[in-house]
Amino acid sequence: MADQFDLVIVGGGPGGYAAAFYGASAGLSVALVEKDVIGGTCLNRGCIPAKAFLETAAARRHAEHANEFGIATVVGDINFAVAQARKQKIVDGLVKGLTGLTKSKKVTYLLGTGSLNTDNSVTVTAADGAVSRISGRNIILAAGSVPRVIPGFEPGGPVMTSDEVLMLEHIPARIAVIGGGAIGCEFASTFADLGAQVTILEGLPKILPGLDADLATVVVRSFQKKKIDIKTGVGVKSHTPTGSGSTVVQFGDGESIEVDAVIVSIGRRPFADQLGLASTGVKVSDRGFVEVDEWCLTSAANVWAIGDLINTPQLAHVAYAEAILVVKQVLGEKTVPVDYDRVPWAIYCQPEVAWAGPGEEAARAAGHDVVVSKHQFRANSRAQILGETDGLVKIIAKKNPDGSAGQVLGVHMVGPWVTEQLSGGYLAVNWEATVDEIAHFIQPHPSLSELFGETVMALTGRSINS
Amino acid sequence: MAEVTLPQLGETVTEGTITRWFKKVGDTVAADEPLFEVSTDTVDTEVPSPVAGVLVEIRVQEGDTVPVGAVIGVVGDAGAAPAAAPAPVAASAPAPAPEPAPAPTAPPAAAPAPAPAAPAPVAPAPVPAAAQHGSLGSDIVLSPVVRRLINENGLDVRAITGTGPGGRITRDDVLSVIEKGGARAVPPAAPPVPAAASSGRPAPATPRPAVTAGARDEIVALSRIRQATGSHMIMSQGVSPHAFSVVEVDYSNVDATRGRVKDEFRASEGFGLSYLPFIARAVVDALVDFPHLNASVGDDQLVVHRYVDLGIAVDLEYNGLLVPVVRDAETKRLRAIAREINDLATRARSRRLSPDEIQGGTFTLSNNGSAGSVLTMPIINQPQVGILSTDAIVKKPVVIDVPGGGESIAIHPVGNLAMAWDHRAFDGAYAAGFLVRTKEILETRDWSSEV
Repeated sequence: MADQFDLVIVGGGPGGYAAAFYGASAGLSVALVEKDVIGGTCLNRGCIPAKAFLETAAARRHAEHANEFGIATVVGDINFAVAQARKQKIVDGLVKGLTGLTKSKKVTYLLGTGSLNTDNSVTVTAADGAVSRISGRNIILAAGSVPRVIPGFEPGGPVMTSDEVLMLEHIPARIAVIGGGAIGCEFASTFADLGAQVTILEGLPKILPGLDADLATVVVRSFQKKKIDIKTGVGVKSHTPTGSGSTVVQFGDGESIEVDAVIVSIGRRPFADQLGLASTGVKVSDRGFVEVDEWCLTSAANVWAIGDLINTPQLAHVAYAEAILVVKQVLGEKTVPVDYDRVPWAIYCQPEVAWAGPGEEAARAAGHDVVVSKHQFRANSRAQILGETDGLVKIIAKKNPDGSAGQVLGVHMVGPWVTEQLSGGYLAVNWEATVDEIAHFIQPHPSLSELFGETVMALTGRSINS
Repeated sequence: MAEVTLPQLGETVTEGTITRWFKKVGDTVAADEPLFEVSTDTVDTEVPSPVAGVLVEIRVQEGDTVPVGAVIGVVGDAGAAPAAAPAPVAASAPAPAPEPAPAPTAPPAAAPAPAPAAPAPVAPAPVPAAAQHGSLGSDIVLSPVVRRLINENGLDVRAITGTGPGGRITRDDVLSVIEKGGARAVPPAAPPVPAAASSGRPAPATPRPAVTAGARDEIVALSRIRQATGSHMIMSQGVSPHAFSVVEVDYSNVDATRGRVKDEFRASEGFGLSYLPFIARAVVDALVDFPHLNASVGDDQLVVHRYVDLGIAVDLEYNGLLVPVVRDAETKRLRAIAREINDLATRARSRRLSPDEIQGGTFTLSNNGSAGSVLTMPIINQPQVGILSTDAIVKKPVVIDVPGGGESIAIHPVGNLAMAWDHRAFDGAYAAGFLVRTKEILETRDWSSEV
């Protein structure tokens, strides 16, 4: 007889551990199955390590600008092994924290690969081949995703995905980043700030497709200042190693470029490979996503799926929200599905990008008559003090019949620390507030967030600083 | 352990009086066995036990009136000890009942959010929420902005259909209800005092003149059924652009059959054969030919019903109006319809209808002729698209064709069929086509085959 839990979770990434801890804190008996290290992609091979390197890049940028502040500085070479060790210390500390939580919350943590059986039991196969079986009244599949690869660009040697990049011990001198999406732009920005010569190869007509055009323009200009070479509308064909560690990438219409590293960042694919779903009632789409309804319920009773495994925004905080959604249903509590059109988004390149709700083009495409206001950080006092004045805040509001601005549909930001500034805009969008309702509230002075307040006020038809 | 609550007995019912307990504390009760009787404005009904077990606690005594959703009593597992020795007088005696497991709240019956596909609950099954006195249920997720809009406009949150994820009510959902002028909480919130022009306060959504009683006035409290009817009428006028069409029907053909069979009919059925069943029968057949009258207007679409649930407005001797429903009327012939109308009307007047008998309906007849009116403009019973008033049938001179050619004036029973209809659903020609078809059926069918 297998051990019976209220909740069995397969996958210990942000979705899985959030479900485990949230469920345990509500009194459920929980088992969490993870094949590698708790924390998943985000903590071990994704967001956290990538942001740690972005901070190394920021430190170098600050050092370079220190002379402007009157601090005589000569920027020395980067010892990337130190940065790597620092990153690993942060990751290890967070892993240790999560491991501690499994104990303090009495979550049964099982190291092994979990696969689903038809009777809602889960077979756990440990690395040494030992097999055990547990069962749950409810199962949450949260096996996450892995980097997509391009045929001919399999990881190895100079070719790497995010998994390998984040383990680098030195900074490659010349880098080709294949894919100009969020992940690619973060890597391009990081390595350019660390002194590498970076080329972005994007198949679509522009980088950061889907981003509001005004924001994308700011990012492109900042990247150009960093001497990042952006080539759009070019597909990569193949690459030819030179024998001395570098390789020549063929792309576009007979063009080629010699680089020391190729970073393949064309997205991530759901990783349902080891869940054993073929024999169960859980349906998987032809793109590999586990199919769920808006409540994250799969086609099998009491089997749920969350995070990168399903076709929703690949964001750790969306996985958190889905975890809570599922646990509340398991508890029999009333809840509402995730409003995917209004989740917060963040891209941590420099300058940062953050938004909630549709951009201008998307809002118009959805049939809204809109009023738009844009304000530049170069007019903001705090941004001038920081010396980081590239960027803007853009708010898209519904147009009232009299032409004035009404409900805020989207808040879009690019510039210094905007990922930290989004929350006010996020609340405005999700509370469906009008510009008049938000303009009533006060922003601290001097602060970067004043620009959000200023943009809102402009939409009321009045202003102070513009 | 299950708490038994006062169920939602009808759209307009907000409270009920417990008139009788069938069980005492300590009695065994089977699932679905009647537990107590409740009397409301519109129905008296027995409420069954949701589970088998033992009645361990009576929270509301006979004669007490409580809101819908209030916990009336508690049924425990078989063998459970009664909560306490029945207190001699005080109903509020603290009941040291075994601590009930915390029960998650469920939405009120009319909550728009679809229930998520049922997970295997680890916690006890949800039981109905305790009474919601305000119009804002605490278990409904609303943004602060939406909550304020609902409050300021005195709306009933349960009457608003949410279009957001999981049925969440969005700002647009509320604004569209306000635009249509409706979904007021029952009883309606007092209208805000019109603001002075200089105060800058927004104007109330539906301003109405202040009415105060003077020394020569008498104040008559509006009953709940009166208030609910009023709210529904305001809502209907706000939702549907009402248009009005009338035909005059010569009932001599109906009378040919009715006069011949009415004595036999009364003898065998125990009630008289009025014109109404004939009209109902003709309307049902005409609805089959004009199906867009048997429909509801949705978002950019007309939901056409493939069955006719015919509502019959019944006056409760000047004490309100109920609309019991003849289900699947298209499958019934004249005599069956006559029996059903008589049964529903009789039980409506004695408040003996069950809640499901006054819900739904795809088209409504309002029989104003029995009260003497010769032309009545009714208000549509939402979400239907038409309501037909059957007005008084009186003897009138009419021009008839004389067999063998020529015309003559004769005395015939004549009455109006007057219909209010929703101009969103169709246009005047369609409405008139339906009325003329109804008239033709009444004036030409050989009714003797139906009775």
